[in-house]
Amino acid sequence: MIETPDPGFVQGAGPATSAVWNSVVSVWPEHEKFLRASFAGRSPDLLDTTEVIADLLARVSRASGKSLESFAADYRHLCEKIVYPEELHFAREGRYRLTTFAEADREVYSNPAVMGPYMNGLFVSDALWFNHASAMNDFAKVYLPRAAPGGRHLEIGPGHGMLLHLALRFGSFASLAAWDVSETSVRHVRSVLATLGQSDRVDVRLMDLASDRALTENRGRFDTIVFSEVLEHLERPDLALERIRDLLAPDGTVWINVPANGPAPDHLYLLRSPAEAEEAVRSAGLEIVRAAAFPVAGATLDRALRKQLPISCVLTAKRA
Amino acid sequence: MSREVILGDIREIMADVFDMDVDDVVVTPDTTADDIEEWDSLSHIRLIVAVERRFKVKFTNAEIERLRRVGDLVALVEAKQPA
Ligand SMILES: C[S@@+](CC[C@H](N)C(=O)[O-])C[C@H]1O[C@@H](n2cnc3c(N)ncnc32)[C@H](O)[C@@H]1O
Repeated sequence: MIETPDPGFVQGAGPATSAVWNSVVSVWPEHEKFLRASFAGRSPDLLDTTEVIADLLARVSRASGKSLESFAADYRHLCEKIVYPEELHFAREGRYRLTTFAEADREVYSNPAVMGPYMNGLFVSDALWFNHASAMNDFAKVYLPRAAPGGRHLEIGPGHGMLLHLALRFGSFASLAAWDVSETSVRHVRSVLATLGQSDRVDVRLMDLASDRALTENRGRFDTIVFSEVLEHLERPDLALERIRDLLAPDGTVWINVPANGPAPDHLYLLRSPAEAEEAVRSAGLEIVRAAAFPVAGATLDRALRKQLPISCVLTAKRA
Repeated sequence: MSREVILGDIREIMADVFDMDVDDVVVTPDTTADDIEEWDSLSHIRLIVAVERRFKVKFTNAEIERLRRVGDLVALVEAKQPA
């Protein structure tokens, strides 16, 4: 039997983390078991990154007038109504449901009723899901400290802007740029940066990675590139990785975060293991510098591989 | 197929899905996710699909969401068996 702990029980967790935890448990008591598994054994570093994420969420919540409970409700909606049905399809069929961008666009990107709660819910998941928080932590505490100071930084597909926030907080770049193909995302990122008082630090643009302009104006330009949870959304992941290679400065590195076995309505490209992710990156003329893999909460990596459970695959690579 | 046989099969499936030794899986009709650490919302989905495969049945989304007790799962499998 599981005892019900006092609110805010998580050992070593900060106040913002506890507030997010409590707001989720208040709208979804049955989820507490998952949360406990997801926080079991988090290192002090990981708890610190979790707190940075939760604190950003709290600030966005205050600035937008949308309560944490409302974010928590979106998170519950994301899990129960958006992710679990895809998990069911994946368990039954062994593949992702959609294969074309046009389908994903119709069902998700161009559907505000899905997109709103989806983006908000993902924001919460970055703090609460072990694999998501661990990937963020890898970026903040392992990748960024190794990046030479004073470089040119680019994030492709910033979504809600979490990794830009971490780059501003833990990195020391001469310039930061962000490209997203979605008008909604560009607007969202700009407003998050405004909330943080950092609008003038990042050049946020509507830009398709695949466009000619993206390359002609920026060949060999960036010292660090972030490509997080974008690859699995693409019809031609191979071309995107080759494009990233061409955007990198000779000594530049790209930090890639891509799920294996992570079904979602807008995920098209299925990788079944970290090894498959590495293979895809190598095929694009990139050399792996470092690899890490974070399984879904409650599973070991070994079990996640055997049972085809979600794994966040983190890869750092440079031009081969 | 009797309820006892179905329950026995489901116990084996649970051991496989939850990655447990079958001897450690103690199930009665009243067993729920509260009793088994490895039984969470994601492994619930895997459990249901493994049961679907074994008994050649299919559950609706509403049925899957509602299922809590192992006994209810057994009853549902029994109800879906061809006469
Ligand atoms: C799931 S979000 C990722 C958010 C964030 N990077 C993270 O890791 O949480 C994917 C983002 O990639 C953007 N995107 C998809 N295809 C793109 C492309 N070809 N060029 C630029 N951005 C793209 C989407 O608009 C969306 O904002």
